[in-house]
Amino acid sequence: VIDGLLRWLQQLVPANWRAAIAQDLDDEARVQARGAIWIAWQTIQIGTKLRLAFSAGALWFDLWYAARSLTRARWFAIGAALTFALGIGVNIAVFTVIDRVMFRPLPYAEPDRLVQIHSTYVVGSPSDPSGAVPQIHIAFEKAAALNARAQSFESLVVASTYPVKETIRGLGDLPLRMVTMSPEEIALLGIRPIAGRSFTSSQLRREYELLITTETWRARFGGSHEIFGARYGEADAPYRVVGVLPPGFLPPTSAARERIDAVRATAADDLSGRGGLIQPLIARLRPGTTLARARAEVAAIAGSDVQVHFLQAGLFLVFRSYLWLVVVAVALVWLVAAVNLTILLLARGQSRANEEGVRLALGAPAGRVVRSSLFEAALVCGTGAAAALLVCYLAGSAMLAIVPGVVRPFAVDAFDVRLLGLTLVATLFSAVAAGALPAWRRARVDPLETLRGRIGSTSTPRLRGAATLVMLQAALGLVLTVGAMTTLRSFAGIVWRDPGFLAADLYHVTVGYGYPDGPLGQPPALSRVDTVQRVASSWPNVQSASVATSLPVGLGFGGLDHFWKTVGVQGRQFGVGAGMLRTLGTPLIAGREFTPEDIVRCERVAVISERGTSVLWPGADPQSIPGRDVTIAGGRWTVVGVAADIRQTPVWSPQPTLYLPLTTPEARRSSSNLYLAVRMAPGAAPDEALWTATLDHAFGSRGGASAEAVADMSLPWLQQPRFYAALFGTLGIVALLLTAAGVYAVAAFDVSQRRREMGIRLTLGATARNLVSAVCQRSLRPLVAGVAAGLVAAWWGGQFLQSFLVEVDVHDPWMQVGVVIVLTLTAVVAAWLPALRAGRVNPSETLRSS
Amino acid sequence: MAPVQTPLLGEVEQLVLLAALRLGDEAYAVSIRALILEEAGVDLSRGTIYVTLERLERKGYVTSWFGDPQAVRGGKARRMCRLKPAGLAAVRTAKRGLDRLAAGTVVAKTVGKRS
Repeated sequence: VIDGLLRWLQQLVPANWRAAIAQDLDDEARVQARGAIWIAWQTIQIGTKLRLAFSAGALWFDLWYAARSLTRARWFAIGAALTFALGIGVNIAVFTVIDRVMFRPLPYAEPDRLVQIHSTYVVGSPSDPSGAVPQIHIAFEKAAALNARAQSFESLVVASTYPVKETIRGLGDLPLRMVTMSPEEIALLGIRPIAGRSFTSSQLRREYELLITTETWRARFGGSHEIFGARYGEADAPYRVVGVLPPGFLPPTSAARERIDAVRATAADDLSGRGGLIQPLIARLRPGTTLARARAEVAAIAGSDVQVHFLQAGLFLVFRSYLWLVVVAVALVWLVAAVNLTILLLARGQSRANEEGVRLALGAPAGRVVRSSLFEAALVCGTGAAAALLVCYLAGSAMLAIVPGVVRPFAVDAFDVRLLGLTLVATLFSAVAAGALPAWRRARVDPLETLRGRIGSTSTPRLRGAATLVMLQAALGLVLTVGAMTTLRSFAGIVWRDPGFLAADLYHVTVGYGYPDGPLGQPPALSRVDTVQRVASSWPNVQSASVATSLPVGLGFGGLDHFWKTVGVQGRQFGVGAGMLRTLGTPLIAGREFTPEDIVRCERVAVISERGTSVLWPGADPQSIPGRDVTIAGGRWTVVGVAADIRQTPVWSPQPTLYLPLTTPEARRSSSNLYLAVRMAPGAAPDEALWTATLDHAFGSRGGASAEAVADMSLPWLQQPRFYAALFGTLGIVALLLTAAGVYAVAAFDVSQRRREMGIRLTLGATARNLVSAVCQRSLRPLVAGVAAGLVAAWWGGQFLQSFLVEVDVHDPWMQVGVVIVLTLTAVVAAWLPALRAGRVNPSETLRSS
Repeated sequence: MAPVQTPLLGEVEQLVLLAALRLGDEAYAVSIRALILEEAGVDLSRGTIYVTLERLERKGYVTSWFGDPQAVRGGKARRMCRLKPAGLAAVRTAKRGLDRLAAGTVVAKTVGKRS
C-alpha cells in the first residue's frame, strides 16, 4: 500500500526528474534512517516546488483559457455566478451578524477561561416552551456561597453591565451610548485602556468615570488627549473621561442593542448583605481548570440549577439555539448552491466535450484539462462571491435595521478581514467541490469517440450523474423549503396573530398619582381612582379611558399570579376599572364587564378569560359561565363575564387571566402606581402636556402622566420573530430558485444536445407538443424521486425543528403538500421554458447542418 | 571591464555551480546539497536544489546524464551533472565581479581572515 501511495505521489514530480529524485530520496532515507512518511513528505515538497517553478506560464495560460471560454459562454457564466452568489451571499449576510456572537473569541484577555454562572427562570407558559422567556439571574445566597468557597475560579464578580444613554454637557451634543461596568469586571475581563488609565474604585461615589471606545474617541474627539482629566456634565453628577478602551471593544452584555460609545464606572455588587435575585456572575477559571470541573464544583456548592457556561455562550444563551438553527439553514443553502453549480458545470462540460476531445487528441495532458476546468469553476465562484460581498456590504446598513437589537452591536461589515478569509475559503472549497466531478469527466473524454461522433454518430450524449444531482438538490431544496416555510409561518404568526385587543390608537398611560395607603374601597383612595378616570375621560379626542392597577397589555410582566397559583397553573390577575375591555377592544364572549357601580361598591365580581374558564370548568359552554361562583383568597366571588384571551406580549401564548375590580383588596399590587388604558379617536395623538396639566390641576400637585403607544411597546418583542420570519422566508425562496436553476440547466442541456434527434422526430411526424412534454418529463423525473426523498427527510428532521416553533405543527401535512406543489410548479416552469425551444426546432435546418 | 553578456547568476545558482565544480564526477543533487551545507553553512531545501539544477540546465550552464543504476535491489540511476563551459564562464564572471567590488572593503578583509 505504501509503495503504491509513494508511486502515486511521485506523479507530482515532473517526469524528467521523477526517477532521479526517487533514487536520491531512497539513498538519503537509507543513510539517515528515515521512513516512508519522510519520503512521501519530501516528494510532495519537491514535486510542488518544481511544478510551481516551471509551470507558472502554463498556469496563467490555463487561467486565461478558462476566463476566455467563460466570456464566450456569457449567459452560462452569469447564470452560474448569480446562483452561486445567492448561496454564498446568504451565508455572508448571516455571518456578518452572528459570527461574533457565535464563533469569534470575545475581545478579552484569554476569553476561553471566562465563564458565566447563572440560573434560568422561566416566565411565560410552561405548556408552550417557545412562548416562555427564560430570565437569567442567580440567587444572592448561592452567589455569595460560590464567592466564598469555589476553588475553580481565579476571580469572580457580579455582572454589572446595563445600558445607559445620556447627553453630557461638554462632551458633544449627541447623547453618549454607554454601558455600566465595575472596576472589578474590567479587571477580570483583562481590559487594558490604550490611553489614560482604568477605573479606580475610590472615585465611584464622587463622580462617574468614563472609558470611551477608540472609535468614538477618534470620531468625536479627534483622538485628542485633552479630554482626559477635566470634569463634564452637571455639578451634582460630574463625569470624567479617564481612558480609552482598546479598538473593537465589545461590552459583555446582550442588552446594549446598539454600538456603545463609552463604559461608565459603577460599583460592583459586593455580595454581602442583600438577598433576592441578582445579575449572573462572571468568573475567570484558574489555568488548567476545565469547564466540566467547574460545573461539578458549582453544582456541589450551589445546587444543580446553577449553570456554568463559557461567557460567549452565556451572554447569548436565550438566542443561541435559534442562531444554530440559522447556521444550519444557511449551510444547507450553501450545499444546495454547490450542488446546483455542479449540475451547471457538468452540463457545460458535456456540451464542450468536442473541444476537450480535440485538446486531448492534440496531446494536452489530462491534468491541464482538469486544471482549466477547475479554474472555470473557481472563476464562476469568485465572481459570484465578489458580487455577493459587494451587495452585502452595500446592503449592510439596511440589513442592520432588521436584525434583532440583541445581535446588532456585534455585527461586522462584509469586508471584515476574518469574514473575507472565510468567504475565500468557502469559495475555493465550493469551486473544488462543485468543479471536481465535472473536471474529472472532462478529462476522461475519449478523443477518438468525440472525433468520430462529430462525423456521424447518432447516439445522444447523456448527462451522466446529473439526474442524481438534481434528485439530491430537489431533496435538499424540499427539506430547506419545508423547514423555512414552517419556521416562517411560526414567526410570521407571532407578528401577525391577533393579540386579543386592538393595538391601533391604544395608549398605555402611567399616571403620576398612585393610590394612597388605606383600604381601597373607601375615600381617599376611591376618590383618586374616580378622579383619574373622570379627568381622563374628559381629554379631547379620547374615545374611552379605563383605570387599572396594572394593564394586561404592553408590558410583559404586569399583574399578579396569586389566584392561579392556588389553582395550580400559571396565570395572571389584573385589577381593572369600568369599561376596560371596551377600551382595549377585547371582545366579551359572555356576560358583562365591570360597571362604575361595581368599582365604587367594590363588588366581589370577576371576569375570566376564555382560557381561564377552560382551566376552571373544562368543557363548559362560555355562555353558562356568568353567574357561577369562584373562590378567591378564601372568599366567594361571582363571575359576571367571559372575555376573549389577550396576549400580554406578542410572543407569549395567552395565559389564563382573571380581572377583578381594581378597588378590591385582592387586586392591590405592592407598587402604588395607577395606569390608564386610553383609546384615542383614529389618528389622534395624545397631548401629554394637556393631560399632565389637567391631572395636576385636579390634584393640586405635580404628578402628571406619560403615554406610550401600545403598538410601539410590542415592537421590541416583535424584532426577533420579524427578523427570523424575513430570514427564513428569504432562505426558502433562495432554495426554490436554486432548485429551479438546476432543473433549468438540465432541461436546457437536454434540448441543446438533442436538436438532431428532435429534427428527425419532427420530420417523422412528432408534434412540437410531443417534444416539449418529452423534455419536461425527462428533466422532471429525477425531481419526483428527489421530492419523495426530501419529504421523508423533512418529516424526520422536523422533530428537531419542533422545539423552535410557536403554535405550528412541524408535521402539518398541508404545509408539506403546499411546498411540494410550489416546488414542483417552479420546477415545471424551469423545465418548460427551455423545452419550448425544442418545439421550435426547424427540422430541415437541423438535418441540413449535420 | 566589458559588460557582462551572460544573464546574472542568483546566489543559490552560484553556490550550486561552485559545488558541482568541486565535486566533479560525483556531482548530483544530494552530494551538492551536502557540500553546500558543509562548506558554506547554507541549508538549502532539497526542492531548491532540484529547481536550481533544472534552471541551470535550461540556461545551458550544466549538463546532466543518468549514471549507472545503484547496486541495490530496485536501484535506479542517479542524475549526475557537470558544468558546461558556459557555466564555468558564468561562475568566473560572477566571482570576478564580486572580488572587484569587494576589493579594499571591510568585507574583503573579513573574508580573507576567515579563509
